[in-house]
Amino acid sequence: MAKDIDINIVRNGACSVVHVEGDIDLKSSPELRAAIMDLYDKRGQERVILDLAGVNYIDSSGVASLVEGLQEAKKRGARFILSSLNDAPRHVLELTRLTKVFEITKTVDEALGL
Amino acid sequence: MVRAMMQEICRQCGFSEMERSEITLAVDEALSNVIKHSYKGSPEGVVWLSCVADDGCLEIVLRDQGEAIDPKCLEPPPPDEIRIGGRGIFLMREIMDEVRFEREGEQNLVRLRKYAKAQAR
Repeated sequence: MAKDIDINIVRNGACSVVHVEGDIDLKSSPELRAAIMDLYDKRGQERVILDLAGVNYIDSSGVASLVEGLQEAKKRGARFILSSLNDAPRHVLELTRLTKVFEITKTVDEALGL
Repeated sequence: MVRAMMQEICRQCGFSEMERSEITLAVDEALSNVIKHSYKGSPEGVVWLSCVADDGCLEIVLRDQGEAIDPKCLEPPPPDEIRIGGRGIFLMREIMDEVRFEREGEQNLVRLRKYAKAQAR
């Protein structure tokens, strides 16, 4: 059976780019949450960039994982950036009034340059 | 499977691409709620889903035999950046024209209604 989500992490010093592919939903969001938390908690990352170019669906449990990532980053004085959002995930963030809460960039390169 | 089915039903009802995505998300959130709250995370529970399109209104009913849902869970405050969860019902209410939670005998019902734009009320 195919995995619901693929997570590939590219680390460069204190910055990580998390490439996500698939649907972020009730089933897959715990895996994403764990990957994000691990980067802050165990690997001391100062900037985590979530590349969501491969994500076309996110539900409230996925949104909760993103909020948790943001909260963890803030707690540590680190950054958490969402990048390359497709229309549907962006719309869900709009519906939940969170577009102003997250740092969002059009591309990963833009997030790396911040 | 449910997402693909809902997309197709919404397409046949004439909803726009954005509306199809939204309604699919609302149904997904309702299903997640059933799994999390009625069946306490158990994947064994049965959920019946019915869709009726009539006179410009699509009504989707989810029915389960899990525990009665605590009414306090059904009216969460608007989301804010502090709270991690609790956005599922908020999303359902944002997207659908009507969201009703009912208890009928030993069953929970979630009734979702979406009207075609011209008839939205």
